[in-house]
Amino acid sequence: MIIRWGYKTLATQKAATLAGIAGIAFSFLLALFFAAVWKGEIEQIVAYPKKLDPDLWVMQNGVANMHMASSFIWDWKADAIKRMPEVEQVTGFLYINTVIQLKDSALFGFVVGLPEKDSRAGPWKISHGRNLQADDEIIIPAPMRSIFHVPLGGLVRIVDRDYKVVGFSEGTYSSANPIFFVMQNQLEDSLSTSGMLSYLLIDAQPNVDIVALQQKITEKIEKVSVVTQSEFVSNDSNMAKQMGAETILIMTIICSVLAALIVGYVSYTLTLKKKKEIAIIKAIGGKEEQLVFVLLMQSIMLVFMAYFLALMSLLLISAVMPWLAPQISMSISLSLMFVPAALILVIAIIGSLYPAIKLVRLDPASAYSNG
Amino acid sequence: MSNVLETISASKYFDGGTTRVVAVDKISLVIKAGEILLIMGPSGSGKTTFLSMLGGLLKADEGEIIVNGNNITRLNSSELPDIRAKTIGFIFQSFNLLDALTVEENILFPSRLVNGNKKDVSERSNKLIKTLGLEHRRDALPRTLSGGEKQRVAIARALINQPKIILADEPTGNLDSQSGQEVMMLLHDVARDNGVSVLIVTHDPRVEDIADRILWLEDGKIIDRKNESHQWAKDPVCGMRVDEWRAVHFSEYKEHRYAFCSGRCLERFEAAPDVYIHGVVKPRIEA
Repeated sequence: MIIRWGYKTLATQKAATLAGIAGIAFSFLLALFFAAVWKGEIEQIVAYPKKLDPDLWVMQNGVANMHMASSFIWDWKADAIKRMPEVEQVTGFLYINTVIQLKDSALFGFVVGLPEKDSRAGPWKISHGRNLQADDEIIIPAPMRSIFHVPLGGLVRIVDRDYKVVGFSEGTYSSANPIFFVMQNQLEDSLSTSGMLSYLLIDAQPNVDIVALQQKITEKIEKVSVVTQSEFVSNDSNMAKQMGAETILIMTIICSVLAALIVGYVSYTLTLKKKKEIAIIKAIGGKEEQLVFVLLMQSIMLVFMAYFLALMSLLLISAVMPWLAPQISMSISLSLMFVPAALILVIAIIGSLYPAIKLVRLDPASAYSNG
Repeated sequence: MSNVLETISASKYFDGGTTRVVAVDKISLVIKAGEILLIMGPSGSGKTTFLSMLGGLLKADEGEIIVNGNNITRLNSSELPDIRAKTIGFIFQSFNLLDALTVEENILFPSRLVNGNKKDVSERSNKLIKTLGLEHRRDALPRTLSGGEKQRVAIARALINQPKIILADEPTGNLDSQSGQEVMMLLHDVARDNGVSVLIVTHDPRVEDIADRILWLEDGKIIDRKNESHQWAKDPVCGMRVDEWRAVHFSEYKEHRYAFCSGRCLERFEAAPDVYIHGVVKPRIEA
């Protein structure tokens, strides 16, 4: 009955309850939104190596990922690996991360120099335009077309060279590492290198033991790092997480504190409004622990309703985001939606603390006041 | 009759800087089972403070208060709620119902604060609802009730745990004359039929007639007050004094005119007037 009183009290104070739920939902939405964008960004960052999906990656010794990394190895090492009987195909490409000049904007981007007439290293889907056919041509991520208003035939400057946009590719954009494709010889020229590659994609023959092949390449080819696809993607993902983790953690803490403050404020307001009734309940035999339990239940109810509202809003935002802001990638997973349940409980408890103290101190004799 | 409540030199002080106000000054009294005790006195005389002490809501600074054998002055604050829930029924001037709950939920509320047989409680609740004429208001919210109905709900709530004593603070204070008299009659019935002691703090002189004892509280001290003659008539049904000049319920029977405190008493009388007239002195305006 006392729980019913708590629930009905919330229900009868619709305006205060709804305002509280909206406030808490907003802070949850902020935290969820940033987490979803962060997760979406990480997924985009690893989308390129994931899509390449070789059995093994070979790169400069000491390098084990692609994001924010540089790697240079001699191209004869690719030939040496290709001669191994366990290897079906080796695809090498040159890669740098550098500043890209796009109209009046300068942005950080990853440039992949593709071998001629070899689409193993991408791009895989051209939404507008065509694939690379000649020098001084470039394929840029599709969202940049609308973000920077770059048309087909527009110019992009990389290092010391202007490239003409001939195509827009799908699945190669993230705000942290948009991927630009040019011909390998053009990139070599800009870097003043020759006979160098950055990464080798190793596709093994069917039924070959990948770990054994990894060990063989490591032993036979000097000064290279050989990692499996899963290790490589994991390394890239961890690198991306490290770069954004602190920001997201701070955002989550700020939003959680905000949510706890709003829960506290709403609970406190409800407690103040129902001070007389709480005194009456205490007077007629209600125990403090029963009332504190009701207060906690009220807070948990508020927080869960707010969380549900925030989730619904997040799903709505993620649905309209491709039209509103195509450059923002969001990823909503079950873990993102349900793992914070423990955090919600903590927020509800913290938010209820001060009102609970006020409630415990409330004098039951005030039930006799006629206010 | 056994003692339900006893105070032994109970005192309460309030300190305000350099001065000390004696709100209740060494009051000793005994209330027996089924007794109706009225405490009257001017505003600020300490009536509500004393009532709060008896209900275990305020701790006595000196003396002892024993409720149904429990010395509540020696109990700590975590032990008192159980005593209050099981032994004491509270009735307040402003009714103090819980706004969000229905009539039935309000009545049942104290029973859920203690461990009890739900079936028994439900039966008791149904009986109280019927006795107090609240059947048609069972699912109504307090804001839709009249003052008299609210106080009847409060009485039912006070009785649901079968308390030994009811502490009523100005129970007729917010009621019109008729509702007030009905409420007093209900409290009278509770004491007479159920053996529940009733302690009423009030300014309302109409209540005096149902009281077994009247105590006068002034400056925190209590004194017995003699019955005084009034210029009021007696209701032949409930025995309550009725102001003939203000009463609205009358009946003529065998050349006599009788005044009643409420429509309920009038109905009872008209159903069987001889039962009530037998032994009843003709209502008169006393000198």
